[in-house]
Formats: sequence, structure tokens, C-alpha cells
Amino acid sequence: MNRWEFMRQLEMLLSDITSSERAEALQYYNDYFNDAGAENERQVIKALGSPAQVAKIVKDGLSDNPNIGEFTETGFTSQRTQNPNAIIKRSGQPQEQGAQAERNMGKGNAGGGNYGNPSTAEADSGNKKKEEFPAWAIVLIVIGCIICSPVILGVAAAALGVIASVFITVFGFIFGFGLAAFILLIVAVALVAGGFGCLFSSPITAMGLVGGGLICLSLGILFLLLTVFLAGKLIPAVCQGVVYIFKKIFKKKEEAA
Amino acid sequence: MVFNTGAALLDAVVLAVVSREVEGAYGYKITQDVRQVIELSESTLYPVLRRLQKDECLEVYDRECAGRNRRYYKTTEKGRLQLNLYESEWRKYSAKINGIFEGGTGK
Repeated sequence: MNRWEFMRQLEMLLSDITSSERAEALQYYNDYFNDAGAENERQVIKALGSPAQVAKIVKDGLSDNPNIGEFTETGFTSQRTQNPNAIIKRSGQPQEQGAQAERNMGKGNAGGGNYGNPSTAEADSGNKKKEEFPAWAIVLIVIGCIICSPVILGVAAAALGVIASVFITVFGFIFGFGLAAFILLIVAVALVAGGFGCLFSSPITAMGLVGGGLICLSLGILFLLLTVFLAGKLIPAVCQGVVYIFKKIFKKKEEAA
Repeated sequence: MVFNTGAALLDAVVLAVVSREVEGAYGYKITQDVRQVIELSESTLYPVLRRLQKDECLEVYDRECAGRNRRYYKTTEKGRLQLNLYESEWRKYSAKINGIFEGGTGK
């Protein structure tokens, strides 16, 4: 949109005010574009906002509507008070000069609205939407949580159960392997000792016993290694997995919020 | 800025900005000058200037400039009185606020 389109739209939008007011406003904004310079045309259009916004501001300025609103940094507000000069009047010591000027200004100053920047206002309100839920939404969520609590509790319990079972399984494996390794090592020691014991009385039996003992020893070492491997790798992996799942859940919650 | 600018303060700033120039100032210039001190949208000032004009605090005249007419705003006698009032009120008000901030009695 260039300035001519902007002005045309503005003129159309202002068609319902008096022609003198319309001419005044159009001259002001036409001047504004001229004085900003052609090189700033885009920037000015962006800064002014849409023709509809400008038209609303012009019309709001004309009306004696007490609910007139203005953009402020915190969003669109309509804080017009019945008498914004109350501060001045209350502060006592009504100087003759001031009192007179005040009387003269009485009607015109009926506007106590606040003025600010609409673009930052919009950005701010956008941020706020992310940060703050309206109170009724929080209440609804709480009520929903209470109503759904059996389901939520059930699901939570199931999830906890799954996590616990995974842990127990892993510990079971490790414990089982560890026990097997321990027993095999003991058997191996016993067999080798027995073998040496009857080395001279029956050498063949002794060799069988020692051989069996050595097999047990190797199996025992194998299980021991497995146990160490499982304990060293599987437990951290499971823990990381659980942490990962929780992180995912909480991230989603943050996004949803 | 965290503090919103009320209509009276905005009027005061606009009157002050316009009255700095003996020959008056034009809309774009006024807007840029006011925006130096107050965050406000570029479209906010028109209704303010129009209202001050209707209240006879400002008067307008057109002056030839680079082959076209440029509208100038100038403070009237009434506008100067109003500005004086605003300035004295502001001094009292800001002194009180400063007093509170600096731990005084607010006087």
C-alpha cells in the first residue's frame, strides 16, 4: 500500500464525518506524508497503522463519547474519566489565571484517555497471552482436572507402574546375572580345590573336576562381566529415558500454557 | 515506558513543543518532537492537535513551503496560559513524587 492508497482508504473511512473535519484530517495526514519525505513513506504507513486505525482515532477525537479509548503500552484502554481535571482542581490554591484557563478548557479536556504506541501495545498484549491465562480459564482447568481426576490418576499410576516395572526388570536381570556369576565362581573354586585334593588318588577324576571348575570359572567371569556391563550401561540408560519422558511431558505443558 | 501518559500531560507536552517555535510548528515536526520524550503512536497526535485547536489553545495557518501549503500550529494567548498552568502543576506534582521517592515527607 502506498500513501495514495492509504489516503484514499482513509477518505472513504471518514465519509461519515463532516466534510470540514474530513478535510482537516486528510490535510493533516497528507502534510504528514509530505513532511516525512518520500523516502520514509513506507515507514510512515507502518507507523500510522492501518487506515482503519487512523480513522478510528480521528473519529474518537471528534466524539464526546465518554468511553473513548486510546492505545497505550499496555493495550487498548478506555480510561476516560468524567473529569480528568479533578487533580488540578483538588490541588488547591486556585490561581486566578489557572482557574480561568481551566474553565476555558473544561469541555475540551473531557478526555482523560491515555496515549501510547499501538504497535508496541499489540506486541505486549501478544506476549501477555502467552504468559497469563485469564482467571476463568484457570478455574475451568482446575474443575476439569478435578472431574477427570480418576482418569488422570489412573493414567499416572499406570505410567508409574510401567516405569517401576522397567526398573525392577533391569535390577532383576542384574541381580540374576550377579548371583549366577557368584555361584559359578564358588563352584569353580570348589571343583578346582576338590580336583587338587584327589590329584594323587585318582588323577583322572581330578582332571575332570579341575576342568569342570575352569569351565565354571570362565562362565562365572562371563556373567560377572555381563553384570558389570548391565549395571554400568543399562541403569543410566533407563534413568535417562525416564528423565527424557518427563522432560517431554513438561515441555508440552509449558507450550500448552 | 511503564508510565502511561494522561491526556493532560500529553496536552502540556504538545503545547510546550509548539510554543518553543515562535512561528509555530507543523504536524510531522511536532509528532517527532513529542516522540522524543513520550512513546506514542504517530497517529495519536492528530486528535490532540485538533482538540487544542478547537479549544483555542492552538491556531493554525498555512504557509507556502516548497510549492505547497504546509499547515502550521501556533500557541495562542490562551494556550500559553494553559501551558503555564500545566507547568506549575507539573512542578508541584513531580516535586511531591520526587519527595516520596527520595524518602522525604512528600512536601
